[in-house]
Amino acid sequence: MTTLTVRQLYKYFPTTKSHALRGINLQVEGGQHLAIVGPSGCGKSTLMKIIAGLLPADSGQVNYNKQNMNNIAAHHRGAVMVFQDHLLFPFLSVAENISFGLRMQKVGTAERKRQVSQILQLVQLAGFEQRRPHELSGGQQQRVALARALVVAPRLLLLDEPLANLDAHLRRQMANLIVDIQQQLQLTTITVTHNQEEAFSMGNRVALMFTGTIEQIGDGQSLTSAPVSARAAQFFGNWNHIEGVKRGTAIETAVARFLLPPHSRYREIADGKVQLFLRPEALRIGTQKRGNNRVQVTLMRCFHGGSRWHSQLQADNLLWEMISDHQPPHQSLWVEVAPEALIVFSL
Amino acid sequence: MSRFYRIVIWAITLHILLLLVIPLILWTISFRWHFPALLPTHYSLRAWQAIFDPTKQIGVALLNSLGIACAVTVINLLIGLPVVRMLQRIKIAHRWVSDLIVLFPLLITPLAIVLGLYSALSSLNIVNNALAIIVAHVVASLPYMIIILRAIFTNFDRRYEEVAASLGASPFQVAYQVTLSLLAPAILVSSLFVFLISWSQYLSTLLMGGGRLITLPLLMISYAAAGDYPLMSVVTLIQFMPPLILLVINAFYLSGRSYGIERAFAL
Amino acid sequence: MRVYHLFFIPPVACIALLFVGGLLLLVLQSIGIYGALGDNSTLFSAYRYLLSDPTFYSSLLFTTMIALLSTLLATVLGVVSALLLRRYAGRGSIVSLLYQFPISLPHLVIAVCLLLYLTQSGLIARALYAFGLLSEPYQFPALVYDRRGIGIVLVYLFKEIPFIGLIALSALQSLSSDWESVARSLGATPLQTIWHLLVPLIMPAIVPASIIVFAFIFGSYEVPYFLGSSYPSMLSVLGYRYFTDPNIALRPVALALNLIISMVVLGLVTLYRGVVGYWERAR
Repeated sequence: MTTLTVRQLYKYFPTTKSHALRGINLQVEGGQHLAIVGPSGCGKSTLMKIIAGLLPADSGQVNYNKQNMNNIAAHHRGAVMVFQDHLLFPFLSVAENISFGLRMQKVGTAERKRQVSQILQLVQLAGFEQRRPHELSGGQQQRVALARALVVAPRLLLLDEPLANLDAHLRRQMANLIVDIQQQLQLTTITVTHNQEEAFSMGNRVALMFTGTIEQIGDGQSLTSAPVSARAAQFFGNWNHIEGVKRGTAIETAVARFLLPPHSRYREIADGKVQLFLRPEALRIGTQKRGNNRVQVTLMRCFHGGSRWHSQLQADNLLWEMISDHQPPHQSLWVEVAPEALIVFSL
Repeated sequence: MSRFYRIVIWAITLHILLLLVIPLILWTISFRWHFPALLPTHYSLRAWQAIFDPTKQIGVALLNSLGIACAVTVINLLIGLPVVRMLQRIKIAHRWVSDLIVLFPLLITPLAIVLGLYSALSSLNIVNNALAIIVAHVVASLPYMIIILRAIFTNFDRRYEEVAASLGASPFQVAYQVTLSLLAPAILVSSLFVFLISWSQYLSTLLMGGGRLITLPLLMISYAAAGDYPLMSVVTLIQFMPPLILLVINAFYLSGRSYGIERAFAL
Repeated sequence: MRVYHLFFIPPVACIALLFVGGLLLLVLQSIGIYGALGDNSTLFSAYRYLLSDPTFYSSLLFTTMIALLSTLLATVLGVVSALLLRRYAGRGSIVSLLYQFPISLPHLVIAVCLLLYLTQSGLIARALYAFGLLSEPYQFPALVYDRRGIGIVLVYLFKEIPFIGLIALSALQSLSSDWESVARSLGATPLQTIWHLLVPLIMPAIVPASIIVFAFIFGSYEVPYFLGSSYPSMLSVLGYRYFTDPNIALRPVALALNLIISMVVLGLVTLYRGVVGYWERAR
């Protein structure tokens, strides 16, 4: 098992004049799975390529098990990448694709054949040896790509948007397969994705990345309920936003007065101007009554999104979103905010 | 290290071109340059002055070459554009018909067809003039025009035309106001390509023109045969002009985009 | 049938007249059905004449060798230079444009440029003299008008290396850099990546380009006409010589020869397409 440590990585691209990485620090313990989530262009793919040795960093260190890898070429690192477009070599069969890495390391034919059939079993594609990549479905192609990476017994498995090209139901299957195999083989793994659900379902830990820096690392619970910044809050679905003034345990806003719950960590914030964030799921249709944590809104539009009701609400000059089990009954209604879902940052 | 290789590749490319051109320039200004001198021993501007000397025929040859090449380009466009449009309408299942029409003329040596046409044209008494030369050049260039235009049209998104048609444009309005405007740069490139094919023809010009109409390649070879290297070099340098213009257009106007022309040659 | 469609008729007629008509005339004349000028010529006498002429066979061999050698060298060097250009320059970069420049130069212009170097009193011979490596021009090996066709091959290389290179470069440029990342992370060295991944990936673009180059060189006449020796000469030059022979009875022979050249090229391409088709069906 390989522990990956990344220290103070910097990378600047002169042609596009962009600072892709500005001081990345990371540690992934042996056999752990870290999911890196962030908007496109935040530098996560660059980070992966530097870890794999496919790009040089401007400064900083990449260590595998405390051994500095900076001067070790990509093909000696044993960090294997899998990309969103499966990138199976079109001129090779499935078996030849999978044994590519072994062939490069001059492994004998018989041994290659044995390992290929073994790994095909693992990804549930036994008997597909002689197929050509274009004869496979999208999910099968991605599983072959995974097999091709696993067969070289990688020290690190680096998955770059591995599910992005798959249909919704295939995504869940593939995510389960990846996690199963990763735990079975005790592989140190990093998955990069722009989709928070994927990140939460695959990684033991999730790192949120913005424009070259890691904003926050933690599990799904802590990232959604205790974001460290306004942009982290918004990234994890806290789209409803309002400004107000904090006085003690209460926050006054133009539309309502919000009370912070007894053990809220936001009680410690200094009094003054603050920003409030709320997830659409944290709003509930309330009774027709004025009070704390209640807002009177006008229903603009609502639709059934497959499992729950999505509503667009207007209050004062704010546009809010609500996701609820029931259809809002009136045009004009009161919504209740769960106080423990309030996220507060001082301005 | 990578910077080092970058410079090396620059140097090699530049030197190959310079090595090609520098002896030509030296020859044009040399008066005497016998073996084993590495540089001309006596200089003269005779060869450059010869451009304005009607007896040396350089001016006439230049005008003939330009005129023929322009006519060939226009004819190529007039034939090529409608034919390629027509080929586009052939159903996928009958693609081999279009392949045949496109590839067959390309793979028959142009000289074979020119020789085949020669006797027919001579029995009609239309050899030894510009028209016969233009016919021969069109035979040599049209297959390239069609194969390049086909590649360009294949990459063209037909939905622009559908949008225009749905907005009420007639087929002619669609063709001239939408298709041609969108494809103008690509058509420019293919026209230059065809111009250069005509520009570089030698044997078909000699055959069809019977030597009565002189073009730059003819003049170049006749000065080479006469051993007049200074004049040969001047005529050769003049022939560098259209390729240089193409290079400049390519660098500044098209910024190196090839519009899929190289894909034209996928068999 | 709309009015619009009528506008397709003249151009199509032009093509038919030029290519189908020209080819038909070529076939008829070479067989001797039309325009036979020899007094006692019978049908197919031109072909019989050719096939019994040893010059034809030596020319065929010479032409094949020149075309094969030029194509092979141009393909290898074109692909190598494309790999270098991709690594150290972009496609739109000025160095790539300069590299492509010879494609647009007429063959004869390049032939003249090389002539100034390659003759026995050319610049290379002069340079060697300056270094004291030879004392008389005749000691310099003949590289133009020579029986081995070195000058011819060099001219073709000048034009065709950038042609193959351009096609290889554009094929390479259309590949995502992630391909290389995959191979490298699977343990392939940079050279293994080129040989086992990039070269196979661009093969479908390179092979047709090579065949076009071969077909072009096989049938082209201007460079060997200018730089070649009188014996052996390339088929096209031989054909032109028959055509312009004062003995007008040799004209059908010239036509037959040109038809044979075209048929060889066509046969080759048909074979290639058949092989590719079979291969794709077999997959």
